[in-house]
Amino acid sequence: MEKRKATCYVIRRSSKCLFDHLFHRTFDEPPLQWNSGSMRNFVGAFKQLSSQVEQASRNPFTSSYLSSNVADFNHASTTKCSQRSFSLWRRFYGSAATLIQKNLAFSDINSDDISYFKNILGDENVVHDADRLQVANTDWLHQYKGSSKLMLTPRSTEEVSQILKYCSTRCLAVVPQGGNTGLVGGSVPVFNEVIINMGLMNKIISFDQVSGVLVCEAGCILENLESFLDNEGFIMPLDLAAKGSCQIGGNISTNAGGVRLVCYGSLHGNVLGLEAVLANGTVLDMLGTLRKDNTGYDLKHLIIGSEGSLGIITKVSILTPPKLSAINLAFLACNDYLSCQKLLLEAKRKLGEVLSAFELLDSQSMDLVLNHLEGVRNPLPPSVHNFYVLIETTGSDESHDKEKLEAFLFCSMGSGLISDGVIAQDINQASSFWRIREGISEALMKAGVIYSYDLSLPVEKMYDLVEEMRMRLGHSAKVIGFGHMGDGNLHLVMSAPKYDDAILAQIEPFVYEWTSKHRGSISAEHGLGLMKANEIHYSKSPEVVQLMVSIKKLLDANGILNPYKVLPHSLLRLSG
Amino acid sequence: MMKIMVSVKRVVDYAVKIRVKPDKSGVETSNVKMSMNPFCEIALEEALRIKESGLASEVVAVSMGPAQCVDTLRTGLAMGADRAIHVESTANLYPLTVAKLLKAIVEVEKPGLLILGKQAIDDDCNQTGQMVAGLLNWPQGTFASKVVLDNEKLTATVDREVDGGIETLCLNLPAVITTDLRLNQPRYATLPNIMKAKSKVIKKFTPEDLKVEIKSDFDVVRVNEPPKRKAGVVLSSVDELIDKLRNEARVI
Repeated sequence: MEKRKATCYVIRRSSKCLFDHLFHRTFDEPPLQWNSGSMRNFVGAFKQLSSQVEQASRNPFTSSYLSSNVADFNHASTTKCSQRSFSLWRRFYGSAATLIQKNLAFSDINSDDISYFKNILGDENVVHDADRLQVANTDWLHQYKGSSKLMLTPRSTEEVSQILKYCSTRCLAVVPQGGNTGLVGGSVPVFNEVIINMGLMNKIISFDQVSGVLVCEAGCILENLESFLDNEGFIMPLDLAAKGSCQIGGNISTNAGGVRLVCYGSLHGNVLGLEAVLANGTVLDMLGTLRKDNTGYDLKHLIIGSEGSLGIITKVSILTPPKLSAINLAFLACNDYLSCQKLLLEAKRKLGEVLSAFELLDSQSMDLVLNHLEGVRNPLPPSVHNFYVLIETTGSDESHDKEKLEAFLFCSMGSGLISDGVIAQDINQASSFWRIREGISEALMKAGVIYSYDLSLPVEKMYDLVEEMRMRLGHSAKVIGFGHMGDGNLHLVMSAPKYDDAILAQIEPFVYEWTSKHRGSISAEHGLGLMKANEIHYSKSPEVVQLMVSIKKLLDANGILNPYKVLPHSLLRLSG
Repeated sequence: MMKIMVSVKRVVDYAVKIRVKPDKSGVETSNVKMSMNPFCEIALEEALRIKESGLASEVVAVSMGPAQCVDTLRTGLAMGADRAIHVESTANLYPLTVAKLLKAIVEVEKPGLLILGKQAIDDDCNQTGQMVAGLLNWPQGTFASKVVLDNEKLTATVDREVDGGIETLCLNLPAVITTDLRLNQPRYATLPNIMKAKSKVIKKFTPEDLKVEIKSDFDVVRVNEPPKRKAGVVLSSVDELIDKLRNEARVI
């Protein structure tokens, strides 16, 4: 089938180089202003945009395509339904900046498709209910909203395989979805892709109490796995604030990090096997439970972290560490970032193998949490502290660990690294300390609009970026920095009362360029998703990205798995 | 100025999922996190606040039990208690025995106020405070949700949480007060205080020193887990609901 190739235009107010490449000139017009996410504003903006594009483009095809679409779109937007004529998508917040063109090779759902799915899955697992779709179409941050009309909830690997085989032949785009807690728009449709929700595949298949290997389906919620393992005397090797909703398949697809990574390592080390379904329905059974298996290329590592773009994970086999009984938690205050760094070094040296978490919060994050969350209080006596550090130790001997921790803390206090601190005396106190750190995302949602960035940076430089952003943004937005300092992972979040293009322009691409300059990663653990699909060049070289594109085309020839995400749109469209 | 004595108990941590021992003789307590009883924390916090307001000269924490009670006392000292007393015994100590031991210690220390938690979360007895008040012949204000001391008149005004609402009593000191949940929010143990606590004194007594005989007036016969809650069922229609209400739950 011939693909209608209209000139792809991705206009980024801020990404001049890509822009130049596509249009061979720079636009000097002022940025389009929008004040809210309403469709009506977009129409005005779109009209401006389309006139600019028409002026620039010499291609008669493009201009006619555009003008026909504008007319359609005007009509469509007033009737609040815009799939067919609306082949452009804009990010809910701020920007005129990102416009993605729908891949017209993808088909739309018709009633035959629906009956086919109902045949395989049963009526109740083929969802067109508007309320459920509304939830499934919107991401956790309420920043990305798709317009899918169909959600499927398979119950077995066989069903997933049949769905994907069919979608492949019909060229129907799909979005695999787990707990929908991702922070980069990777778990929701961009246009009307079919959502494949793995939530019903939530059985624990087996658990070996000697080796600690857990085999379960991809839709198991992380917290449920943790409770199950708790009974057996084990724990999951990862822990994140989203644990009540996120599913293990999604965690593995995004190579989730979390607070335990500093102790147990990443999922690449802990996942022993996977069962995944490729775009054409082929089931890849790599569900080994062996700790060591050097037979051939280890393909599961391609799937881990591929964010659903190479295959849908259906079963996982994961190595779980034994639950150690002695957990100690200290909440500390430091005067400056340099002390925090020295503290980290000392902690790694003095606490060694028992150190299981090292988290940083700045005073602005603490204020945010205290102001917006209920039932939370500052563990430290009222005083101005600039930085807070949460240190957790996990070991098998309570008194030994407690002594070790206390000795380390007294010594650090004596040398001035810590200005004050408390040690949790029971589990409730420990949970309340963790609530502060884990509640930051929740507090941010309540505080207003979020611009969230997740960066890996050299530890010495981590906080410099936060201070520079504060200078750049001044009073227009609150800048907070917090994160897994033990892994060199900073969560940089700007909070503003409402979406504003001007703020976004100050942030991007400065943040990415700064990170790239210091050889950091623009996405430490959250992944690229939709938000950073076109920014991969800040952290990976062109040859590497090209090979990724080749692999994507090999495993998913029609590009139906989670399209528009992870890899740059221009590279996926221009070649082949 | 008077001193305040606070009795604290080392119990299984409130947040731990407890399990019954296979022989049903009790709850599994080995390898399980133990901490200070939450109501005792509140009692200690109240004592510290009274001392900080200048109405008492020192706070003494008391605990009875095996050697590990010292950990709980160290927590108390880290919160701010000045001294601690540990009555060491490996026997099962039930409320009446504890009350007798407390009476003996009160006669040694002579505090103006004895504060305890209203009950322990492991046995939920809610008896020790009342019994010790009876043995000492002191007035008692139990389930306190507010305590106000008056040093000139030597009285304590206690708001008690009772079923019908709040009852306000005025007690002559010395008195026994047991604390309820809403009295205060206990403070955390800060590093400087933990450091200071290491040098504070914990005095040891045995029941023989206090001339109290430990005898049990009753035996625990059996401990059972409560019946497991059945999972809920999602119904698909009103007809099914009516059918279940009629035939399974038998309420219509």
